[in-house]
Amino acid sequence: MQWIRAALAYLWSGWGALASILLFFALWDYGNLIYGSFILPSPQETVGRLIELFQEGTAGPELLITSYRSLIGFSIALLVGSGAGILAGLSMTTAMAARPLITILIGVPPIAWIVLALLWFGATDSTPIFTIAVTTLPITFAAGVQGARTLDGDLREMARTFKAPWWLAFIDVHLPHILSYLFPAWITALGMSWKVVVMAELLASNSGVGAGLATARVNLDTSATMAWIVAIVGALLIAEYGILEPIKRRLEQWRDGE
Amino acid sequence: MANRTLVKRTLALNGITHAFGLDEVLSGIDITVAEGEVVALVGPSGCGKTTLLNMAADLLEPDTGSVRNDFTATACLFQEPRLLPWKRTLENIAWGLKVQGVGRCEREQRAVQMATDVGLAEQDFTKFPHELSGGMRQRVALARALAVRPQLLLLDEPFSALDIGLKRELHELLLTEIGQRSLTVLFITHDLMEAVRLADRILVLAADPGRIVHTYNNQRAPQQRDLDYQCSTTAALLNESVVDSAFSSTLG
Repeated sequence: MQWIRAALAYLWSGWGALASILLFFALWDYGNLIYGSFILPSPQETVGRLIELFQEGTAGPELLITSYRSLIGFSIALLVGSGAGILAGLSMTTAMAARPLITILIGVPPIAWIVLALLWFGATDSTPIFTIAVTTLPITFAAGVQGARTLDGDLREMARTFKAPWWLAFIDVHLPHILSYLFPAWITALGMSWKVVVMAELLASNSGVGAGLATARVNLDTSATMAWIVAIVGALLIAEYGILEPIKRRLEQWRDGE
Repeated sequence: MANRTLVKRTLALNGITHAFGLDEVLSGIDITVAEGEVVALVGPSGCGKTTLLNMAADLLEPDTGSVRNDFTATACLFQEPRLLPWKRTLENIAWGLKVQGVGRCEREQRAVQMATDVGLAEQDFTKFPHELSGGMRQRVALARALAVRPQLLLLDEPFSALDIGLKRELHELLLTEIGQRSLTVLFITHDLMEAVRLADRILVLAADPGRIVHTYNNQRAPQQRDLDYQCSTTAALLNESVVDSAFSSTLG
């Protein structure tokens, strides 16, 4: 019963989001009235074009390919970055040593990574996956370090007085704290991976949404361009609000009302 | 208590000297707590009380001297409740049992029993720590410590953050639990009156470096230590010049 109520409450909380999305569509439509369809196609045209793309059988497979690449790259960053970040954060020395490295890695433009990846891997799946992993990894790594650095010494001592084995202390005492740092970083990394994957595909692949965008550019097809943007943003919204956000709420129940 | 051995268990700290860097915090401390005894360590802040307790709890190794603990189960209670913020009341109480590998069902039963014993109401059982008041949280912490059925209880100023009424309630609760479970207790406090209320034996520590300057054996059984007795005994203790100077030296 409790989870049904939670699910309904979650859906109900979507009204505010829906209202602001509709406002966004209204502004977009207004822009179309001013600049005309060639510069900014209206929402109706765009959605119509997107449906067309789905019916042609282009949009579905391309979106799947893009999602696959993005999720693989994101998962690598999530697992490796968070794990290594937590380990680094447990020691003051490695945390200090890691800081400038994170800054350097975050400072390298994704586009530069794409060029490098293209030289290393060619026009394969590995290029976008590598680029996503390497650009989002510093974000998850930094969050892991932060989470592990700010562990509560009092709670750790409490766990020691009970002679808790390290894994139980980690799961019950440290992990919930670290997750509260990791989750926002994962959401940021997910958004970033979605952007980077399109860029990598546009430059280095002949499949995926990025390749679709490249074709639209060649044909000066603005409505197809907008349709692809809507598709990719829609997919991101589903991943974030359909998967990550509910998990986050479930895990952070204990914060309610704090 | 049927199989109690003739030789009593003890917690013995012998010849403890300890320094943090060049700062000597403890010097030549000998404390023995025998089974069934309630011993209070009283002293001003900074006299090394907590350091001593950490040694008794096996959280810290002394520079010199030895710590011997014959009790098979030891539990600690701190000034802050130190509950896991992401666990509900019963899960927090049962956490020590989880560490011991007690099964989920038994864990829950024992947690409910403990929670009732320390005076928590049923609607508090599923609350998170931030939804409980300070006094309630400390009750949960006490229940968590008692749930592992300790023989020795180490307390680090567990009531000093509470108001007088709550403090008194928890004193009564603690004395009841000590009596019922025949617990041995070593606790630290800076509150002399609290020590007189709870302890059979009071050790007064002075600072710089921490050392025992006075020992007082309580004359009355716990249930006969009324308010008058607490006040007069505290006053008498403070009249001892060593006790007085132990507490006033930190002002200078």
